[in-house]
Amino acid sequence: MRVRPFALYPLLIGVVLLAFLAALFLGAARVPIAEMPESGIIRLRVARILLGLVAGAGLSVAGVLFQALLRNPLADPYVLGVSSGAGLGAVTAILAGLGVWGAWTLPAAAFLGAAASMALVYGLARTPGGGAPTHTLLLAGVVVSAVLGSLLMFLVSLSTAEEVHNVLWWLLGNLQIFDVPLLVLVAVVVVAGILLAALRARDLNVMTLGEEPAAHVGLNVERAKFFFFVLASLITGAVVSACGLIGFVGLIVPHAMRLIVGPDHRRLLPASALAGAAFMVLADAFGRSVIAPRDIPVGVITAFLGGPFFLYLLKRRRTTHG
Amino acid sequence: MDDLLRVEGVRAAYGERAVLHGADLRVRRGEFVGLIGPNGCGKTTLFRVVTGVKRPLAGRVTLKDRPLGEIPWRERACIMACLAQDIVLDLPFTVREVAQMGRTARLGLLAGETTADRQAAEQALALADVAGLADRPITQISGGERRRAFLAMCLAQQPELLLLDEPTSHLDLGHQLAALDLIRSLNEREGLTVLAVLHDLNLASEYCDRLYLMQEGRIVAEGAPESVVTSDAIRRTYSASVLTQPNPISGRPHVIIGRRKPGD
Repeated sequence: MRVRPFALYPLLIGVVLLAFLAALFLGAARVPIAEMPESGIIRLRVARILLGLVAGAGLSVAGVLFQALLRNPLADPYVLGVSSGAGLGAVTAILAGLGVWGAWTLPAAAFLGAAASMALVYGLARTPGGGAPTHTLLLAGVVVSAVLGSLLMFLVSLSTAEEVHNVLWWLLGNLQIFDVPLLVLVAVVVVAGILLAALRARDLNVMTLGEEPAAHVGLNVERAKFFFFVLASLITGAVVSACGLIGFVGLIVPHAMRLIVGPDHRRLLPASALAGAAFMVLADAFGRSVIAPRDIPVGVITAFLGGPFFLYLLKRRRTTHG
Repeated sequence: MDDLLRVEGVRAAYGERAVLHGADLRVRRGEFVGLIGPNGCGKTTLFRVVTGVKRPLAGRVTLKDRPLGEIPWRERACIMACLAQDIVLDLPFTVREVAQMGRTARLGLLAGETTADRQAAEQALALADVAGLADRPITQISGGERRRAFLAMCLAQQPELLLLDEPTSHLDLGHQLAALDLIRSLNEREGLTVLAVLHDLNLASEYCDRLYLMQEGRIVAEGAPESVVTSDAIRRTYSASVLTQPNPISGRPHVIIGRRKPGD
C-alpha cells in the first residue's frame, strides 16, 4: 500500500488543513463565523490547534528518531525516560508552589527535568571508548525512568487532593495554552529539530543496517547517534514541557506511516510530521467536543484510539510476515 | 608501496580473552587474498580490526600507507567496502535503496544524490546481478539474493579494496560458486582488490591468489594455495584427517576428507 510521494504530500497537507478547520469549529462553545475574527474563544482555540500541530509533529518525529536510533520498533519518544524526568520537574514545581517565572514556571521545570534525565541516561550509557552502545542506552533509560518515576510517586503520595489533581491533569497531557511566546518558543524548537533531522534523514536509513555496517559505508556512527539523541530529546522535551505527557502518538504515527510510505526516512520523516500534526489536532477536537462542555485530555484520546490501532498493526504484521 | 593494506603485529581481545596474538598480513593492489582457519581462530576478529570497528590493543593497520585510525570514516568508506557476515535489516527497503546507501560516504554534507551517485548505484546493481530485483523489498527475497543486494551496496561505494567475511556462508553449492565467480570477475575485470575470510578450504584454494592460514590468533602459513593447503598443515590446524590432491579441473589443491576409523 505505498503511495507515490508526489501524491502523498499534497494529500497529507490537505488532511492537516482539514483537521485545522474542523478543530476550529468544534468545541464547547459555538461561535458564528461572522463573530470569529473578534472572538477570544477562537483566539484560544487557534493557539490550541497550533500547539496540537507542533506537538503531534514533534512527538511523531521524535518517535521515528528513537526507533531508528535504538533499532527498536517499540521505541517511542518516552522510551529513555524523558517523560519521568519531565514529570518529576513539573511535579516538583507544582508541589513546591513555584511561581517565579509565572506561566513559564511549569514548562521550564518540566524541560529542565527532561534535559537532566536525558543527560543522565547518556552519561550512564557512555563507555570509556566514547560511544554509547544502543542496548546500554535502553537499559540506562529504563533504570533512570524507573527511579525518577518512583521519586515522582513519592512526591505525589505526600501531596494534597488538589495538588494531586493538578499533577494528574499534567500527566494526562493536554493542549491548553494561554501564553503565545511559550507557544512560539516550543514551535521554533520543534520545527528546527524536525528540519535538522530531515536534512540527515539518509543517515537514519544507514543506521537501520546496524552500527558496524553503518560504519562500513562511511557513517560516523557515534557522532550520528549523539546528534539524533540530542535532537529527539530536545523535541520531546519541548513538547512535553508545554503539553505534559501525550502518549502513543510517537509510537503509532511512525508505524502507520511506515506502512504507507515505506521505511525510507527521507519520506518517513515529513510524512510522520504531517500525519502526527493532523492526528493530534483531530484527537483534541474530539476530546473537546464529545462530552462538551467537559474537556477530555488529549492524552486520553490518543491512547484510547492509539492502543487498539497499534494492536491491529501488530496483528497485521504477524499475518503478513508469517 | 603496492601494499593496499598492511597489518602488523595486531593484538586484540574481548574483555580478558585475548583473541589475536600478533597477526601480520598484507594485501597488494589487484590481489585476491583469502583468510582461512578453524572456528574461533580469530578470522572474524581480524576482519573487524581491519574494517576499523574493533580497536586493536597493539599493532598497526595501514590502509594506503596511512594508519587506519587516522582516516575518517567517510574517507575509509571511499577506499574500502566491507561486507559483514550477517546484516540484519528487517525493514522493507527496496534493493535499490539498499544499494544507494553505499553512496553515503560520497555525498556532500547536505547535498542530495547526483546523477553520478544514481548511476553508480545502478551499475552496482547490475554488477551484483540484482538489477532485476531493484524494486523488490529486501525482506522479500532469498538469502542469496540478499547477500548480493548487500554486495551491490558495497560496490556502489566504488572501493579499491573489498573485504568480505564468509561471503558464502548459508549459501548452497551453486550460489557459493556464483558468488565467488562474481567476486573473482570483479577482481579480474574491474581491478578490485579483495580480502575474503573463507570457511571452505576448497573454495579458498580455488579462487584466491594467496592465502593466510590462521590458528589460535596467529598466522601460521602464508602463500599460494599450493603451499598453504597441504595435507600436513590442514591436519595440524584443523585436527582432521584429510588428504590433499590437485583438483583435476584446475590443478589447485583440493581437500579430501576421510572419516576417522574407530580406534584411531
